[in-house]
Amino acid sequence: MTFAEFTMTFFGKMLVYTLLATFTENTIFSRALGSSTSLWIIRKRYQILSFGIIMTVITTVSSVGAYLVLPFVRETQYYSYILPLVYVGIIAVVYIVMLFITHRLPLKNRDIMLMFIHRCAFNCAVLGALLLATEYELDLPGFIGFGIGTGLGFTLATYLTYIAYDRLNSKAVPKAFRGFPITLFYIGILSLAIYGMIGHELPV
Amino acid sequence: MFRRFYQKNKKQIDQFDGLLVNNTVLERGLVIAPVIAAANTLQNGLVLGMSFMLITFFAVVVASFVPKALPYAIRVILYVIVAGLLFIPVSYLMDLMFPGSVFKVGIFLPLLITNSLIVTKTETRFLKKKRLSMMLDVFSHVLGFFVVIVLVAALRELLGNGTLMEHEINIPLKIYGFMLPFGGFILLGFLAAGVQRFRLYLHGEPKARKGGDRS
Repeated sequence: MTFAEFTMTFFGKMLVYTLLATFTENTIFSRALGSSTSLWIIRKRYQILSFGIIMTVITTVSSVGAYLVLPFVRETQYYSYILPLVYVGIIAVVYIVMLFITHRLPLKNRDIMLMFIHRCAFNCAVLGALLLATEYELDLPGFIGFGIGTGLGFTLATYLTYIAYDRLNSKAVPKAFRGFPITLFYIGILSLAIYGMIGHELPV
Repeated sequence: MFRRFYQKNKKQIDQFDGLLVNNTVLERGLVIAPVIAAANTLQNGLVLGMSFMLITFFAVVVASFVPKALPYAIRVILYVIVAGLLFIPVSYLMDLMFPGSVFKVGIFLPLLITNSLIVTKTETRFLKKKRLSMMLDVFSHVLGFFVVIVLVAALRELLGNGTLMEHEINIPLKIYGFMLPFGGFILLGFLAAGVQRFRLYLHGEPKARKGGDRS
């Protein structure tokens, strides 16, 4: 295989897994991973894009770490029991490094960025991306693509919920359903739409 | 009657608010992923509910011994590592109690180690209380989660598959959608609305007028 072919294959695979994780395996719509964090950003009206970028970076870098460490963990007898602990260790290293870099950078909104990193690191969506990539037995471009796609999918789902949030909290909605309950219905309907868009059909 | 009793004994009852009125899933919207995506059979619900109770309760209790002098980031990492260590015996125990169940719930069992009660609520709520009061509060929260996940799982298995613990139940209509994540979102939405209505009733909110302001 020439260098050009290798590069094309690598990035092509990465793109496919990015798209897969963003849409068909969307972290919120298909598994509700990171839903509480998503609702927290919307309620507090924080910048969705900034949070999404931080999450994408943490997920992608942790995915590379997970891919490199996985062969050594697989050799152990009880690997399924210790794997989550190993992944948490990898995320912890990425978390500390990101906090360190953010402290050093001359950022305007450093405090908010630090808060986002705190909130993002041990999020179900991040650990979920690593565990799913392992379950699907992906290769390196797969791990990286799945990590990027998870962050992008989270950002997309949060944005779609944000668009409707004011209406879902308005007085037009009965008090019992206002806010969180109707938001669950809204996410559920979007989840069904994406389930159908992929081509699934419900058994009769 | 309920309202008067609640308002009279508010202080005592609020110690257990994690059970219903401040329920982790139905009021706060935390840890909803396992309820929506994996709790579609009663067995899955029991496995996830019991694992959550054991991992979260003991992780928060151990976390209360972590020195406050350590930086926040290190404390959080320690909480999650403790939860990760607890995951090992708990998943082994679940596999003994319900053979094959750990495989069925997939990634949702290991994901319990980074649940919001451990990662965020330990610092923002539980550790602000005295140890005994904290343990009571954590227990009411984890029990509240257990009740919700088991209820949702049983309803989804019954309505979606016509079975309960894999035993055939004779029901006239099966709605397969309940087995899928969107069914979980919608069922949880109804339950959350029920709890919200009950909370409004307890706090004595006036009834909403029909056709109110649409701003």
